Amino acid sequence: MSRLDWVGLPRQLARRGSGWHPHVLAVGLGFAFAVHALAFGQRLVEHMGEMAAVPPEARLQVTAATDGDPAAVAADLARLRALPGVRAAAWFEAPLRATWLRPELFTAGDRRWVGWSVAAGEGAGETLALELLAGRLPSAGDGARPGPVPVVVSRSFLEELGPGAAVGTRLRSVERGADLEVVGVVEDFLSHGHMRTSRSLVLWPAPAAAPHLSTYLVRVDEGAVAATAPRAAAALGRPGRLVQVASAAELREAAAREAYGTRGLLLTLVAAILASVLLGSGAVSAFRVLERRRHLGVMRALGARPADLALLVVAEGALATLAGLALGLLLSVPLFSVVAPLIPHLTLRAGTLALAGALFLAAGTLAAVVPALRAARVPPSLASRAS
Amino acid sequence: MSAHALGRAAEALARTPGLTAVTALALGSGLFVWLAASSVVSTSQGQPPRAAERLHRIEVQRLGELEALLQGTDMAFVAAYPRRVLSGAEVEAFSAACGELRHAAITAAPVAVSAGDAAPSLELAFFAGPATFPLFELPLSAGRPYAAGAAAEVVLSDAAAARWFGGAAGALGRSLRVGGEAWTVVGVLEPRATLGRRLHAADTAGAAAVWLPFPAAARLQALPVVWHPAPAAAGGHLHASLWVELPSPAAGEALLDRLRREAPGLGLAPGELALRRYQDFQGAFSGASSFRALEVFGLVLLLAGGFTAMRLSTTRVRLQAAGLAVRRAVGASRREVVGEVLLQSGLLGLLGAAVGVALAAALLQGLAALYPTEAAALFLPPARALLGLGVGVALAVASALLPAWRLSGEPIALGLRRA
Repeated sequence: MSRLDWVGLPRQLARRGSGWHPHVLAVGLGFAFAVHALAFGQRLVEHMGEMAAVPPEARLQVTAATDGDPAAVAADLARLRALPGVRAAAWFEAPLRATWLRPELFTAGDRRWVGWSVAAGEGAGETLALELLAGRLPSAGDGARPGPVPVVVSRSFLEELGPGAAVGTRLRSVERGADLEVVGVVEDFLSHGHMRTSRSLVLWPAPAAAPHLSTYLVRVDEGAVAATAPRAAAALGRPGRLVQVASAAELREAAAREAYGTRGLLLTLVAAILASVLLGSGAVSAFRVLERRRHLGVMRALGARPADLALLVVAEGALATLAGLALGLLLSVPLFSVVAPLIPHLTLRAGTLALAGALFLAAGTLAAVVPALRAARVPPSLASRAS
Repeated sequence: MSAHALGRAAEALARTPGLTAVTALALGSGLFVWLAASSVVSTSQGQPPRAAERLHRIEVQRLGELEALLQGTDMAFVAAYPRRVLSGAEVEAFSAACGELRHAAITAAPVAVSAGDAAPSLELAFFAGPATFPLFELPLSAGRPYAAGAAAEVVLSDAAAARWFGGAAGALGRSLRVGGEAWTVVGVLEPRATLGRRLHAADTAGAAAVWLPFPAAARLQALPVVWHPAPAAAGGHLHASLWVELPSPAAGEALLDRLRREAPGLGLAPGELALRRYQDFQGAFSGASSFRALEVFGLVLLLAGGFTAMRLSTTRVRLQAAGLAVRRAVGASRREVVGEVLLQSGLLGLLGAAVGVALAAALLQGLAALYPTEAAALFLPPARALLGLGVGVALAVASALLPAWRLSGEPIALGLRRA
């Protein structure tokens, strides 16, 4: 090691015409892009899982064709509630995973805010296992009474109503053109993970209608999911009728599936960048060896061992890649400030930075191995030819 | 340029196989990332290709306050949903106002579908006016679109026809139960027929889907994938897109005037109506800025690859200095010598570009197969592949020009001393 000028190595790399500058730039940009792509892919999958809006206790979702027959809904619910292991079941206007698509405007006095409504029939409070903080849970006939619609709201929604808000506070739904009255306050339900705003929820009493397809949520204990799912399908099924039963895990998986595609695309682009870094580093190392064959021969003649020369070439590749990573870290700061406002709750975790850094360093270093082996084979006799 | 000159250039490249391979790979890798990134950008922005400049969606700019309240929050990305959908009453009134202009209302919803004795399954149905097929250039491989006002006629996607009837030919005239009713198959779409990513976030190319007349959505009480609550007077839900073909920008202004005049019963305030170009909404990537960022990133990596190739070209030319001096000594002009070097570089560039194009095409094809996604269209358009080849050759030739010119200008004696 002592035979070589290791201290002067950075200066040699920085020298104009060393050929490493494009590589350093490519590593810097590639690293900055890669860490953001990895973080975005990770957040996207998390986000889609959150948006699946699967309530913790309602572990089964049943979709059944009801084709405009209100009696079918009542009969389905009675059959589901009678199944062993089922603690509660209720009709919901739509699968909960699409709730977040429908932000609604609410007003009370001079306050205006955005919330999300879950319209459901009798038994929804028990099915969702709502934790009551004040007032009461929805009860049968809530949706049919004249006057303001009695709604149960989440704690976050109540906070939007203002400091004096409580059970009995009146408000208005702008889109639905309806007056509402808070009859109960419950702990936030269906919170979409990190998505703070979406915890502002209203449980809207909707009498069970009979659309083409009806959605039922079923509350069962964790251990009873596997046994209850086929029982629910059998209880509601008859020839020619559509009945689909999905567990919470299946719903989360289905919601995240689309994100896997985008994450896959991002991961492949990162892999392409790594391949590009590998080739770039290999190319520069190769031409550096080619151009300095006589110089390397002189070094051999002055006592450097083949291993020293190989190590020198590998160290050049590693050092140039490290310089690129440092540049990438610097570039990541402004890039993150641009990207973060566009992607809520995006975080650059230390683990992601370390993983990406390690991959880039490995690629940049490994690429120099083949040229390094060629450098090690340079004979000392080249020095005399040079003279 | 003779075949002899080309052969000599190829021979020269073959004499230094390692350097040739490394240069081609360096250039190819830069091109590969640039082509992959820019193809995702170009195909996602413009997909599916159609006369998009004439296609517009009629929008109601409602609930601006809701959008303003969500701006800057973590749910800002759903703020625009309410204005993307129209109610049944709005669709009816606006359709009447469109008059002679070609227009189509569309929505999508899950429905129960069964063929023969098979158990019903949950499938995606598009409820669309008959003008959708010509308007969105959706080609049929068999049969015809359902007629306006036709009852119980259905068009199937290619995948749906293959799944239930073994293919397009076997599907025509067959019966299908959709939403509990019997429907007759009158047409089958070609496999690549797709609505695009701007409509209900759905792209059904390759998926099983049924196409039904628009009014069937309300009759079957199907709940659309994308909907928003509205007062009962407005039709209960906002759930449909209304697309219109405008022959000129002036026709757009005239249509807006007509819509304002002829739809007073909807209670819309002046300025609430707008026409949005088909290309103005890009689905999952949503904004032009994110496309630009991806494009710039690819371009920078291409430049980095180009710089590396340039440095390697200098090395290549330097290694040839002695040979070039000999050529000049035996009478070759400076121009001829430079021409030979540039021909070699062009060939090398073509080789590198071919590597980049092949890698990019394989990557995009692999991605499309491995991760089917509605967020981006994943294929390498032929025009972009040709552009990639051109860029590769141009970069390689440009990178060799300066060193070749310099070396060819050196005194011949100096070059011969290197031999």
